[in-house]
Amino acid sequence: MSTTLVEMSEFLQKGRVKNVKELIQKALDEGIAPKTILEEGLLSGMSVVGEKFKKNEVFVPEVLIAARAMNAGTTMLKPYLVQEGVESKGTVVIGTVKGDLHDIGKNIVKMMMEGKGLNVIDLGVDVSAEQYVTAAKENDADIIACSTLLTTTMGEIKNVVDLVKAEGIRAKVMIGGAPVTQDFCDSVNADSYTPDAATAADVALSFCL
Amino acid sequence: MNNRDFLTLNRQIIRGEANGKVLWQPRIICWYDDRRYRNEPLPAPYTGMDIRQLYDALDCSNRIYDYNSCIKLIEDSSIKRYSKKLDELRTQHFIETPEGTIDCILKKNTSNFGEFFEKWWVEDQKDMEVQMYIEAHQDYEFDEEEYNRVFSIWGNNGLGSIYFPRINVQSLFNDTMGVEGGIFALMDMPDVCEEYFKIKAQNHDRFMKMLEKSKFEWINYGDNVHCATLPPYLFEEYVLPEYQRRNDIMHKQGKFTFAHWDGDTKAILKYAKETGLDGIEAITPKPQGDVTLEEMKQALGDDVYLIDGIAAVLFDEMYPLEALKEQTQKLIDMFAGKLILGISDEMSSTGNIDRVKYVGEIVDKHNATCK
Repeated sequence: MSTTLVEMSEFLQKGRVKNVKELIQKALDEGIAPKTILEEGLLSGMSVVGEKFKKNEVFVPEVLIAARAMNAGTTMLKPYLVQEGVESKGTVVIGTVKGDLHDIGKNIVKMMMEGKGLNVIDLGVDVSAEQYVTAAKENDADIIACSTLLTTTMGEIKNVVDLVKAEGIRAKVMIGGAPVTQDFCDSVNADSYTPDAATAADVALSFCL
Repeated sequence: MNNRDFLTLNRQIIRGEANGKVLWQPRIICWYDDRRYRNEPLPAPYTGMDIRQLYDALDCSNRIYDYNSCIKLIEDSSIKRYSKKLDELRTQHFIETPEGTIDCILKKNTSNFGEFFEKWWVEDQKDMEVQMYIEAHQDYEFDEEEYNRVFSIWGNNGLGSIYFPRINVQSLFNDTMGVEGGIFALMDMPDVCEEYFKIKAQNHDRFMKMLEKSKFEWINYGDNVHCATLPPYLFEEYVLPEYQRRNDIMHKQGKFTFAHWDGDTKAILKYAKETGLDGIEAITPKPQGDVTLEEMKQALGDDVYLIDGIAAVLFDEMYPLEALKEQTQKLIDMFAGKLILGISDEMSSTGNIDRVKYVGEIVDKHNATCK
């Protein structure tokens, strides 16, 4: 792999926005394809952060600053990617369920999914089943991802699953959050429960391939 | 009124004079207030009761944070606060100072009495300088009359409890900038953050001076620590030294100190003894948190009190009563003597209130075996 891309990946892991942008320009000047820069420079760096996060070797701050660097990089690369006809690997509609206003966990999952090259549409917090389904239809989403931190709002996940089935849309429903378990996932017939953000991103990618 | 003297037992336990007895002190305010918000009557036999009567009926102690109203914040006259209602749910609050004005937007929840930040007070260095001015010009007073008023309601149900303002990084995350803003600030302008933390520590010195004159015997550092957002390197750099400094002062005043660590704690529990804290509140075990009871015991040893300890989800009917019984009994067996038993963090509004009474019966059985 190009040393420029290796350096880019390392700076991304440290959250160094300025260095990442400089190296993107350098890579473009060296004639490296935008898709290669995205995958081997940016996404590979975010993937390392995701793996370390899964093993509790890094925590939310490191993920946030790496994601900020990745976003700066992808924004810079976007016109080149469009020109090259590079598409995202899949589309996810994400939100925290109705009645729940916690967003940090959801935001981390979003960053991890973006770090896998997925297009993530963030509906925010307090999202109703109807809002998930409408957004999934409008964007032909592969996945609806529901986050909840409260036992009081877990029941809302079932409403989302039921509406998805009733409307017959193709999106898989992924769920997560502190009180959620595999047993709960099975009981509401959701497609996947994941215990952490990095695993959620891996599973989401597998659903899109 | 229930005549059980939980206050004395509370005091005896934190002084190490309770001969292994345990106090059952569950926090159920969320469960209670959510019903009040919905105008929903309490289930029988608690229908029509207020929170004080409910604690009596449940035959348990409350960690009485109503005493927070006894601490008066005094601000310099150069600081002006005002608010503007934006719509039915959102209010914009302003603080005007000679250094400039900062503002935040708070939005009311639609399912309970809570509200959350839609826009945080501090977004950049200029806002931070205003925040520093505010905190440098604040002081605190203990209101004894108010203390006596709250005592007249709660009496011997438990020790008066108050929250110490949040510690440096946790305040940045929870009070002024939000987690994301705070993390970026620590990376982008560490010197400014550190200057802010110094001013905050001086503010807290004035808080401790006020506490010296107060009647409070135990002080809760209401920090809402979660190791996913406060990882070991931030804990070691900012929080640990400030806990140590603060606890030295508080212990000279004879106060019992404990901190509220209500998120994941596995990565930082190893610092428990080093902090100088007498206890830690709300450590949440599996199946809800990320630690086992054995890991908690290993970290706290026989030195640090456990305040709470039962995972809140076990009060929900999705878990069998047997799971609650098992965790309660194990906590008592492992921590009695250094235990104020409670719910980590609070009972959810989906919890079954009868389970609160059930735990009380287990505790009473245990206490009957102590001298």
